[in-house]
Amino acid sequence: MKKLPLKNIFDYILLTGLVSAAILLILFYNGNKNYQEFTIIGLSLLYIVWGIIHHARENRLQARIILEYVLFGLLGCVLVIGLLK
Amino acid sequence: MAHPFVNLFAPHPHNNHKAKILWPQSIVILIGLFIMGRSFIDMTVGLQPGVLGYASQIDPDKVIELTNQEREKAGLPGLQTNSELNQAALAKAADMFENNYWAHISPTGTEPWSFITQSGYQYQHAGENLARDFSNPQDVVKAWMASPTHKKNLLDNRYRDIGVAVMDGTLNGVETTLVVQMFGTTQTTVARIASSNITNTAYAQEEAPNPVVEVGLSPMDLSRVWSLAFVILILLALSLDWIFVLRYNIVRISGDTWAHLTYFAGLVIILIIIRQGIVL
Repeated sequence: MKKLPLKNIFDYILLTGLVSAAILLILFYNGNKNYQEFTIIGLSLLYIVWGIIHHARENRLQARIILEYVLFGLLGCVLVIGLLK
Repeated sequence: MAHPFVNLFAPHPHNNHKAKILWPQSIVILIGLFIMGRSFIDMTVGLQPGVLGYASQIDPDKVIELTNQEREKAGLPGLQTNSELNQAALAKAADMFENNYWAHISPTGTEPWSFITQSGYQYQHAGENLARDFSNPQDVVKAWMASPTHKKNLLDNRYRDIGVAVMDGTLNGVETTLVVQMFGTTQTTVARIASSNITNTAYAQEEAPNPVVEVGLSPMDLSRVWSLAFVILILLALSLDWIFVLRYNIVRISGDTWAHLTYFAGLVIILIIIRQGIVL
């Protein structure tokens, strides 16, 4: 069995930090949907950028991988904004 | 040939070692399905307002009490409940339901200050905070305090009086509860000035509040369940994918499953913590 993906531990800590910061901002801006929308759009964009940089650093970056991050980011954005609207 | 369920949720040679639900075309389909579902919820709300409703039980006196607690914390004097401001707040709430709008200024251009004047309150300074769709007074005041402009209004040292109204009705086909909070200072000089930097409003009902009972499934709750269902579906597929890839040492061209899991786990938390109310 392969080891847990801890090779780029800094990358994962950074991603976890981004997601945690977004959760805190959403909590802080509860009641203000505009700010919450900005927060989730920001998180999704940063997630896509994170994915591109992470794979580029590992020399595994391909167009279909970028597409995967873009689509997951878009899906996440749509799911949360759909609730806020 | 693998079972369709296996194909959909687990990496397998028949799906190129990646669950089909995680394929780009499947994600596009999921986005489409989600939007269709949301549109259906919105249409149901619009066509049959009674089917999905939202009502809360907010005591205007509690809103005032919590407001004064926040002012006290900031070292400011508490505000006195004023019957005219209560009346003005009630009139504003009624006007929003009657003319089907959610704003400080009505579509016909009526400003909050005109409700205050009509109530007989001669103001020197006045302000308004609005909130809707909250289920309790604590969340309303918390939301105002979290918004810099509303907080500024709430902690404005110039105000001496307060009026709050809570009213239930239907806005754009959705049953909702509006909270209107009005602040004021009586006129001590000839000039009557409405503070230009005050952008928020809130009503408190002076008379005994109508006890409002939860009358139906909130559209917000239904939307939350709808969003969560999609996130959980993706999380389930990603978890299976992660386990299979680790278990069988599958090598493939794909994004980082652990990163996707982190992102969607965060979204689950976000979808759960988002509160239903909004302030204006």
